[in-house]
Amino acid sequence: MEYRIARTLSPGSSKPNREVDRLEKLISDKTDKLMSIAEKKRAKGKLQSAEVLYLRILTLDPSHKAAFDRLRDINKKQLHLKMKQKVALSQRYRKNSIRKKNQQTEDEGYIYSRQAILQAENRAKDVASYIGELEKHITKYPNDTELKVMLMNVRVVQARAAFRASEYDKSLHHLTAAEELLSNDAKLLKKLSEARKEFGKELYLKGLRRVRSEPVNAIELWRIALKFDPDDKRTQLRIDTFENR
Amino acid sequence: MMISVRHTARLHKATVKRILPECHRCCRERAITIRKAVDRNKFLIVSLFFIVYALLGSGCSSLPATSEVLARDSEFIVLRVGNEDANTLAHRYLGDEKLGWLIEDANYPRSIVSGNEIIIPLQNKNPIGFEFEGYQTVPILCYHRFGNKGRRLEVSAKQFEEQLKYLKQHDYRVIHLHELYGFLKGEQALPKRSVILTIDDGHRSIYKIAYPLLKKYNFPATVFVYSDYMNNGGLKTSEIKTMNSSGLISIQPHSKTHSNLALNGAGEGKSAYRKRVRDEVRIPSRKLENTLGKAPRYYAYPFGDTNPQVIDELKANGLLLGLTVQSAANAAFTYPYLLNRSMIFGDRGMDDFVAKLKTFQAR
Repeated sequence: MEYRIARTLSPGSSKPNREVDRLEKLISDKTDKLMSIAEKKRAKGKLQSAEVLYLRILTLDPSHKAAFDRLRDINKKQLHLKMKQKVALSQRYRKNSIRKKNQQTEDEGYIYSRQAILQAENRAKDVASYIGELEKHITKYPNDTELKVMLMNVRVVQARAAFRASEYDKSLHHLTAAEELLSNDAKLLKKLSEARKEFGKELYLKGLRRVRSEPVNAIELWRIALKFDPDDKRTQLRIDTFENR
Repeated sequence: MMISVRHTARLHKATVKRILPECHRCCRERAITIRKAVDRNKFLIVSLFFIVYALLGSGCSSLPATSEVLARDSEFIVLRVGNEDANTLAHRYLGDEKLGWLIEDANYPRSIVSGNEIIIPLQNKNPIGFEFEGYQTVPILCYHRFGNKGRRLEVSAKQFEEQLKYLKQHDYRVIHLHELYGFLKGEQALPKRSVILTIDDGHRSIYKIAYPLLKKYNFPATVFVYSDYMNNGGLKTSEIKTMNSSGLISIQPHSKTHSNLALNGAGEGKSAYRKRVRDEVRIPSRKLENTLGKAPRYYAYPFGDTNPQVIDELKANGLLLGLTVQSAANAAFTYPYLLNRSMIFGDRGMDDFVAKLKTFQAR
């Protein structure tokens, strides 16, 4: 670009012209080389590697028609694949092919809302806002079982992660929040209760292992275990026995 | 200029007001004489102002350009900017004042202000927006309806205006959908930070709420209507015609009944499905053509779902672009019948909106 502008500024000078020609030849050689490698990769079905090379070719020479066309072919395949997945999603949850006029927006809102959640790419990066989105959706569409199950799973996974890091309050918070939102679904509540029992049992055993060396700590763990599973008689009995000693 | 004239007139009035109470009846004649003099002065000042204003206004095009051309060949013009802005330079040297962005983008970050030496590119060497760091992408935003009912697909007038204002303030360039077509063909460069606005379904709030705001900001948009909704709860023909004739809004088809074209209906055989797809593409296109006198060119799939059969039907009907609702921006090499669009939900904040304005993909 700079040499081209220099050529415009000093038409009498041969240097910019020479440099433009030299660079154009360099680019042409380089793109030819890259193109031949890319074509081989493509023929072998290594589309991702080929795509990277086509992008590099276009960076060097944006008017490279062959690379542009190849890139579009790859993009077309990728988009068709994504669309297939999206249609499969719609297939699972469709109600009627033709919707009533006054239901139109609600139905569309429902479909787009769940698509945005199911196709979210940042769920691992930003779990808190992902949970927020799920909760918003479920509050609005309480009959969406799939997303309710999804929310429960996310909450349980988060509760487990917090539990492993000994952040028991945080872990409990995840379970309680899920129970509150899913309070009208007995099946999901049962699963959450199983998770509570599992965590309670783990704490109970942890307490048992410590009872001789650190009895105070053991009692503390059992008390937390009871927060997870208030109906656990075995833990309650341990606490009572220990305190009556 | 205008301020100083007004200011002068106000001062004169104040003087008269001060003088009048002091003079009583005997002085009234004097006061009237003064007022007449002031009026005469006012008339002279205003006349003078209009003459200068008219001279400036009409003289702009006839005054010699102060920009100085330093060099020129078939590829560039190098010049020192005078008192002209990018649009005026584009009008003078590129023959179209709408191409001012081309000069701005070619010289970025150097601004087009008096005294700066700039280039005007005369050849389009990079119509697909590829640069060393990455490539240009164009986000297409998808709205549905406007109002305050708090539905997920409903954006309030306040929210919509905030979003338009954000685009304006942050130098985004809202372009017509037809401009994207040239970009996708690899022929037409687009301004950096190009954004496209689309509105699906054809709800009447588009005319009542969105259209006035789009006019206010002079932002173009494409409205995709499904024809069974027209005059049947949705936009009326007169409203569609009004918006279309503004040149700001383009009306395009979004199926006939808004059924999902990628899914077979319950008990629907192959031939019935084929017929449905044909009708859902053809009928709204013909209806819009009859209403607006111009064949539509772009199609938004209901629910954003499509398949190769639907795409073939679009091609058979002369439709050039097909829009989905896959949330991403579009590069020049994006397949034109599976264009990505990002949904704008009413229950999300400005951060979410801004995140969807991705105009560059880094490598």
